[in-house]
Amino acid sequence: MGITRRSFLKLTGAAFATSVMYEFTGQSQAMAADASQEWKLVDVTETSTICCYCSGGCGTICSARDGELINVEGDPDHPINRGGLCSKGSSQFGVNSIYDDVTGERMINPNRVQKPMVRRAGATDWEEISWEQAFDEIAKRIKETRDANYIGEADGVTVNRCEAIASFGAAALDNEEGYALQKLCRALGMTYIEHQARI
Amino acid sequence: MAENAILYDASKCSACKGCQVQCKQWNMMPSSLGKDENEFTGSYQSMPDLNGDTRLLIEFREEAKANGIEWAFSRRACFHCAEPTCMEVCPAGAISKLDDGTVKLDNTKCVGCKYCTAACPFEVPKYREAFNVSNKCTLCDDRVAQGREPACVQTCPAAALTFGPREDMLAAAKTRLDELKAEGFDKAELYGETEMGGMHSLFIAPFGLEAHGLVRDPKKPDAIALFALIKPLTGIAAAAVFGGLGLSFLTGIGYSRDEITLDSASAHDDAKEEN
Amino acid sequence: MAGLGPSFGRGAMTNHFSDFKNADVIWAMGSNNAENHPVSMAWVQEARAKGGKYIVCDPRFTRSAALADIYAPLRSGTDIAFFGGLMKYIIDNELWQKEYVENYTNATFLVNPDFAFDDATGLFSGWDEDTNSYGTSDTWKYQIDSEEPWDISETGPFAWTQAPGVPAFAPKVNAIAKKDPTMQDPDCVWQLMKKHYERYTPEMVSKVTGCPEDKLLEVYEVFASTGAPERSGTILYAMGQTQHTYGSQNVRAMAMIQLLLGNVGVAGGGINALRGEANVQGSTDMGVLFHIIPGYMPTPVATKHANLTAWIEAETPAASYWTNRPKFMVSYLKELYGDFATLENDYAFDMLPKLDGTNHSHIAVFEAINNDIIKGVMCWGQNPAVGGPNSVFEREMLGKLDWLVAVDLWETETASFWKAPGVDPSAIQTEVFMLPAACHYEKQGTVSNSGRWIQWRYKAVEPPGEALDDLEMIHELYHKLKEMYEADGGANPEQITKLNWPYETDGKADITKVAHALNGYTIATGELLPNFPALKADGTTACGCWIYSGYYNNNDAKDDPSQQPTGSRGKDDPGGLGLYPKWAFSWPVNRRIVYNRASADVNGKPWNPERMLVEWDGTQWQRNDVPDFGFQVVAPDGTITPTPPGKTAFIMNPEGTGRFFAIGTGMKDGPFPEHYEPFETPARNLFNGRQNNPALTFGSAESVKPSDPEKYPIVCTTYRVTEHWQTGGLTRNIPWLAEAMPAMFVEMSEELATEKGIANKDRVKVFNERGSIEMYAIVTPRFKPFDIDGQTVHQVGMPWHWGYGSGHATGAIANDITPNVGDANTSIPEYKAFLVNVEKV
Repeated sequence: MGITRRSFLKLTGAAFATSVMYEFTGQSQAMAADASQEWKLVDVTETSTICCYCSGGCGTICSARDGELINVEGDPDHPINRGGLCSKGSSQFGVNSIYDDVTGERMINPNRVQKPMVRRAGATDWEEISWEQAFDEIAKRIKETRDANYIGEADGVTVNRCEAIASFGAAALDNEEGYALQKLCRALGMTYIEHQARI
Repeated sequence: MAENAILYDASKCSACKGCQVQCKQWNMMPSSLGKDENEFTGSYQSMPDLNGDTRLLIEFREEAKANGIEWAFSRRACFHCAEPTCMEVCPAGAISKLDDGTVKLDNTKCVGCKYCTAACPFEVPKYREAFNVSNKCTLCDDRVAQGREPACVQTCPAAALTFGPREDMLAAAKTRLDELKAEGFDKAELYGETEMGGMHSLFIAPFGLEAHGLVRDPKKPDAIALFALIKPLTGIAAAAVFGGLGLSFLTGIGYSRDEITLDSASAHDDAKEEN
Repeated sequence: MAGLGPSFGRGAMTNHFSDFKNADVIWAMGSNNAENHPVSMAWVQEARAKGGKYIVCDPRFTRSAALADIYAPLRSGTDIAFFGGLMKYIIDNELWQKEYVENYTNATFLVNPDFAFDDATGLFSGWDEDTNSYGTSDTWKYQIDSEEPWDISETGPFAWTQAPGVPAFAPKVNAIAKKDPTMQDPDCVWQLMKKHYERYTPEMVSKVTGCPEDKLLEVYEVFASTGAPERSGTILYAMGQTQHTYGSQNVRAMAMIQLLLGNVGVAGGGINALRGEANVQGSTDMGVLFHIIPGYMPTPVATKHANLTAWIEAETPAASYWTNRPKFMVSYLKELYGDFATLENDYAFDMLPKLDGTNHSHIAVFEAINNDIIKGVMCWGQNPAVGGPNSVFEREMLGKLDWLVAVDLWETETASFWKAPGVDPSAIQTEVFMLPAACHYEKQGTVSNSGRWIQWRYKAVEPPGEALDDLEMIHELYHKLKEMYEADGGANPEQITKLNWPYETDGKADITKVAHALNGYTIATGELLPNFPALKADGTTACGCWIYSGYYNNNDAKDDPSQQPTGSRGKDDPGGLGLYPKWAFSWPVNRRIVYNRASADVNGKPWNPERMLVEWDGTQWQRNDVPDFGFQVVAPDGTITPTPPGKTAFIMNPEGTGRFFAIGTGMKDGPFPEHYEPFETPARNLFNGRQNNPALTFGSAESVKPSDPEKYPIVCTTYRVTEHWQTGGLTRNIPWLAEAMPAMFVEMSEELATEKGIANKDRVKVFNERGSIEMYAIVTPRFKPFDIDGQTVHQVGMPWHWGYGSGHATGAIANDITPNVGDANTSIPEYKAFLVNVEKV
């Protein structure tokens, strides 16, 4: 979706080019900068997002260069937060990247899990597995559990349910993902479907 | 160029620390990557004071009064004095005053001697060990040059921080002070109008200066005259002289490194640039 | 939020963040908005700059309280007493908005004369000790005046029910309630309400809440001032109201106050539920809950809904906008099962699993694991090992599972429960899968904020390593399962294999395709529908979530979210009221303030011309917002006929009014909120003869381990701080935030600390029957002991963001000692008021 983004051009006098791009993409105008000197946001691609924390829905601008995250700050055009972000909102950069406390070097947040893992019954540690294996094993367990505990009919009524599997979560997912999740769960016959609204 | 200033209105601050974190975000300052290495202060305050990786800190002070709790929030960072003693003492010429009043510390020139910390009436500049430099607020002069607000100002969700021509900020501050007095904040004061020759970071203290931990009538340290004398000497030469003099006011800050050279300092800094 | 629905018809926040500036009074109660929704403070400050007042009620002096014009303390769990007292104050002092109450609420409606409340027993009429419930609550109903059957003739409004393809069902008959416009009849809602709250005197409220009487009256006076027609007051609430065993009744009480003062539907008014998570609103809209399917429709229950006809007949009311429910349901079923869903097979209604009628909520999941019913659990970005009530028990239960899938960015406490401190991994047989997910800006899609704004998030960077976004995982799992069921068969394979799943482009999951499904489309052409009025019950339209219809409806740029209503970034603000109708899309139909008919008098004149949302100018409706009522009729030839002002201000309620009296089974614990003590409490219920909410859920579960006030006399509450979020999964893994608030603590008064010999920064343990946890003490004047009916009651509080998992700050899990009992209506756990004791370590 290249047209949803705009670039800061390193050229002096790029105002015309950038203003055209604002109109084209509908991205932040208030962020317009005269890129006349070298600075942190040279040559970045900007995308807008919404903060992942509270339910305020604060607009946020992410700047990336060569696939690396450079900066995350409030979207000055956004009518709710007008560029503002609290401590959590201001830390959104840190979900993806952090700075080393000795070298100052930017790096992917080392706490992020980057490969699928499994902990076997009774094991004391994780083992890394491929996605193919992960999906295969999980689907097998879902199927086994579902097939062994499926209730097709109860008291003469078709109920088509499986009470042996529960799903938690969705408030951290996008709407479209949440929809797909409940659809998959219900197609498995699941009835224990819950997310953070309850807690 | 007109003088600029930040105006911090503690009566609107919700102490969310957005400024504190966004300052680190924009300026690429790390925090400890260890586990449970951060000290618990016994309050909501993140750390006891500014440090080499922290240019802005929200402070918390609370006191029970007859008419309720006074929970005083403070924004602790460089005030950008009109007469910056840090600049006067810097032996490396790393600290300068920009046209708009910003007191800038250029870490490519800094030799890490910590004189600025000692000379600052507020002990704001802090030593950043990994880079052997002093570190403090630059008023985001890079952002300001691009027509943006300083990172802390833009990110304040409660509009407790504003930025603009100093005259405008002073006028707004005085209007706000009148409002606060009318609301019953009879101890409310404005800080920074005249202190240290006039600051470029103004502070509305609804509960009075002391309640917010502000130094009333800040003065240049007594030894300032000495610094002024030695000022013409720069760089390593000055550091050596100071080391030799063993000035008493420096003893408290643990300065012990006299092996640093300008070359090694800039080499270190080059390394950082590559990151 | 349960409590709002039975009052107004919809369960969502009525207004939105940038509307707070329009309020004359903003009251944060059960919400610490400065700390937990910091962006709200900009709007609170704008209101204050215009002379508005900001009231904060909270057991402790918070960062919100620090900025408030008035702060009033109250003991956790006594909100209904506080609200009941305000209702009495408003009624006694005649501060209610007369024209509003008489026309837009059910105050004039007559209730079944057998309805009663007995303060000796603390029970409403209809209580059944055997089932421990009010059952069908037959007396909680209106007296019927007349009946109007649906007009299903060719020209009638319900002609659509007879169209080919529409499932057969019996047309409904609308029962019109008897009313007494003078509000003098002893059976009318007004008189019943007045009588019910007579007991809530300031003296009694003060004794129960511990709020000094003068403070109480100061709050009452300032907030009740918004009963003046031109003034508006808003209430901000959050989990401080809902996380109680009577949480829904807390919300009901606020709804009643706002109806009394005429504050619902107006700019600067409403009841604003500040949701706890970025997309808890959206995931509720999406029906990712056991009891609702998308768009707030009830999940089929075997005992009531044997087939689609039964579901429609049981769940379609005789009046209100919900009469269109069959259209929404059939369109949902068509989205789920595509061509497989036909009129002949009930549009595949049987493929939707039917509940057995029992509670399948969060707390129930762990009871079901304990009872060997549940064997496998999937956690999608949720961390119950820290976030669930009685989390010691929840972690123990995870160890009984055959398998667990944890989808997250980090190794959360749930993913790593088998290596928690003191746990022997070799003794745990659960197989655990950890799937690395993408964060919000490493993927794209929409989120819905509390104010119902659906906003698009774009992808900024790729997720690190092999991490995938959730849709990709769901998509892959679906395909794996489909392949397995196609190849090997199994239990009812068609439920999976016949599923309609067109969410990919070039073999990869494509979220814009899901957006098409949510918005809805005409099946024959694939054209996106303009909005939900275009939905049909005849199987020709498909729509995943009817209330989202219109958010993604631009057929000219179907794969470009920035060209869709949800991606729009226009900053127009008609009326200067902060409505921003061209910024993103707000459900329903881009309406920013719901129930906005009530912003104007019966003749359509705004109560306050400066806050005009809609206005009848004598010939048509002028409008700054999308009207929430039938404001015009568009003929098939396009001719528009404006509809003159009517009195139906609450179109989702069959009677068209807001409700002081919650009718039928809307509330499971009474048509009027009544004070009960928390499940664990050091105090006796002074208002009635029943100590606890009789209908609370899971109170008798063995796992709860009630804590006795003799041993544990201190009230404890849990909360959040600005610097962290929820279970800390995100925030403890970000060094800046771990530094910003590095350690777990409990806050207590200087008085309690002196009594216990505790100094600030001491290590202390907080404990009860469920567990004992160790942390730092913050000794502060911001907590004060309460005087409860002459007794000193101490309260302490602690945040719940810490745990033992990955990250830079670890600490005790607060929920290890919270009780796993639930609200009568929602089963939301009681996190806010329980008993503990405290000792220096």
